[in-house]
Amino acid sequence: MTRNRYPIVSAAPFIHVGRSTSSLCFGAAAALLPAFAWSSWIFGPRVLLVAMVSIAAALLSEGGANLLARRYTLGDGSALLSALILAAAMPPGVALHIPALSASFAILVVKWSFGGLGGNWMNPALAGIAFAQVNWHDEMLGGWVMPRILSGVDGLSASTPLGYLADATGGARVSLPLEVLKQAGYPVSAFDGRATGFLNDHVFGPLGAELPGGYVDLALGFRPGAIGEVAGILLLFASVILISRKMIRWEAPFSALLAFGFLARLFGGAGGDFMSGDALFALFSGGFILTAVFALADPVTTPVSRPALALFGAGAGALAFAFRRWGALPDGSAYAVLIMNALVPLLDKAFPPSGRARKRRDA
Amino acid sequence: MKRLRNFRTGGLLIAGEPVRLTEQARNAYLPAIAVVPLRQHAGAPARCVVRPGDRVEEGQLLGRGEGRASADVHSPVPGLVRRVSRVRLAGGVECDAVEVALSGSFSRLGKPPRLTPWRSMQRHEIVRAIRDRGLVRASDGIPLAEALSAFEDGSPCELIVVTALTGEPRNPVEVQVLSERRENVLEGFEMLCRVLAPLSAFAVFDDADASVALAWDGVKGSEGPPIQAFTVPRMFPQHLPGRIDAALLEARVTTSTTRSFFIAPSLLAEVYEAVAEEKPSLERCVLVAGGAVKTPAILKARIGTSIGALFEECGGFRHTPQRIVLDGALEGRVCPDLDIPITKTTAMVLALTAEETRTRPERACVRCGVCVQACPEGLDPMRLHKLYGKGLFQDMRAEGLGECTLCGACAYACPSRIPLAQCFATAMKRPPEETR
Repeated sequence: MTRNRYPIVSAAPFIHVGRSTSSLCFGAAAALLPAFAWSSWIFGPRVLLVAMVSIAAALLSEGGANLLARRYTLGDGSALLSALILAAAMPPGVALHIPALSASFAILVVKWSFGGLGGNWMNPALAGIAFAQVNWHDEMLGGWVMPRILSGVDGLSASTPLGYLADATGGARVSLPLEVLKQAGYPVSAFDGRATGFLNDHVFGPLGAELPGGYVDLALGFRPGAIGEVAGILLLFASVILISRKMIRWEAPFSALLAFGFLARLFGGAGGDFMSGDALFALFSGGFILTAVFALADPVTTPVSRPALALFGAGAGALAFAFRRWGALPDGSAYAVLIMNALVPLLDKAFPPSGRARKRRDA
Repeated sequence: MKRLRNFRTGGLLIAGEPVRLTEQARNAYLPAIAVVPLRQHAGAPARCVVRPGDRVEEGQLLGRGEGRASADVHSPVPGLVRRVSRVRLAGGVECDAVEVALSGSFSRLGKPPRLTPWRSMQRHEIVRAIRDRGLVRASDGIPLAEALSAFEDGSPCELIVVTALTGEPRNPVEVQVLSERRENVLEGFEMLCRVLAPLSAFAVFDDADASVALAWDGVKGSEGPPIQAFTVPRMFPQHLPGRIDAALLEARVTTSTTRSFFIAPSLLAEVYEAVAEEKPSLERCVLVAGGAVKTPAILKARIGTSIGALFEECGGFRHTPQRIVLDGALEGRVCPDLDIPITKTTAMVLALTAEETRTRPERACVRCGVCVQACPEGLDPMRLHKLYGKGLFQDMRAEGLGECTLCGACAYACPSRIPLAQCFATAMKRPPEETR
């Protein structure tokens, strides 16, 4: 009667749905891997080196913080995920100390000074990106590389479509950015021509529409840009998988992309022209898809209830558009989300997660 | 037959099919030594009325219930009282138990029952018969006679709800009783109607058991109102009286002031045995299941049989069990060893494999909100847990801790494996005036 073969120090429930925080983190990290693989084919294997450095720095920082805090969380996968998102926002030609220091900043200052996973109010990866853009402004905005498929050679430096456009137009806004780019001599891949022709013949033609050249390049990532953000279509595909497996919630990414695209269509056009912007170009030319799918899906730094999440996403999308349209940086998505992160407690209070709290608010 | 909506918010779809049984309920082997705990109910332990060396008959009184929520305990087997020892029950509770070594002949088992003409009995005579046979409600350990006496204060019971729903969504025991012992259950129901004189009677089933529900819809005994059957979607925790109440209220078949009485079919069958056959509460239909068990089965086991004997009778373990659990994987209690005896409130014993428990290290809350979505009472477990961490128990009460039913839906879903239900149970035990 004194045998104690089965641990008594356990309380109901004794079964579990099976999902764990680490499986969610590793799952999201795995969803980013195709974008890295694709990127290493486009820009060359150096992008993998950047990712490795970022991951190593993040894991070392996490491990060091663990030793200090005497709490071991390397296995939860959150540091790995932050490091991958951070690396995805780096230019392929970036100097290696930048991802290393930014990842350490993200883990040690942004996450662990608030108590580790679950305690931080800013998204660590985005804070790391902001840190890098502030400290190494020129490197972060100038380390772009022309894809091999466009230039035919490795490592030819170039500027992003957004930067190129700004140079070509002297900062003025245009309604047909791809036309302007084409006239300014911006390269289009041979594959784009073939794919666009095929789509026009078989998909858009019968519908009475026509797809101009250049969009296929943008969606597939045949353009200079950050490592993980160029292949917008792969990121969207990853988000569909993550959402359908209920690993991330759809409200914030969806409303963010919707708000961003809608505002780009309304106000992104030339001069005072209304409803003349190019939403597709806006979405696929910067890093907003990466931010929307991976940073807005971080539960720690986002609200809980559905209306609050939708509002949070819409706010991030609107701010990201405003920063791009009127701001100094070509792509300010990271700052847009960080500002919304600060508003999370307010949103949680205005739209409480539980039915009971809602009842009390309305009373 | 009407389908009810039982969850406005929360609830879980528990994965997994109902336990597939190859055969009907069968009698378990009699225990060589029956270890009969004197506390098989919610209240104080029964006072032992036998001494070591005494010879007891099958069904003879071993302990006399004393005080609130305490019930009489009878000997499940004939034999000699070996000793009164301390036993550990599931969940780590200890109490005295009478050990009866099986010997001699049975006075009931194997003999045709002598039927009492109960239809000529008065209301209080039926209640007394129920009290004297030590019947206990399995869901909360309250003696049935005491639960019935709650309606003696002049506000009569208006509705009897026979509920075939169990805390373990895969437990088929109650439904099996309803289909296999139809006559007994119906007669027990008639007895209860004699006591409570309700205006209406409902029976509530899981959607999966719609065929049984259909067979019971409109059934009318010689006493009491006809039974109206309802089904509810298969969601955990569908069995909680609060959920059933809410579903009936939403379907507008009850009002918020309806005084209702919930009872399980197996207890109705016991009522029949107690009143018509004068048989005390001596055995339980126990589901023996879990991934580690070779052939899951429903065994009719004498009280005091060890759970280890039941597992053995089901072919032993196919895999190494990681946890032995009594009364449901979500709300049950863990067993420290296999010597734990079956009591009047045991509904099932589970041997869960590591694949089923899926234990992982506890991690920090990431505010994912699945616990909020899972909570059937519309609470915010995330916030409650935060307050718990700070020791603000008074604030937890303000956030609705009192409405928590400890169903465990939040902890079942939490990816960070935070033992939410356990935290809330601890917080509830704190005295109300305490703030930290």
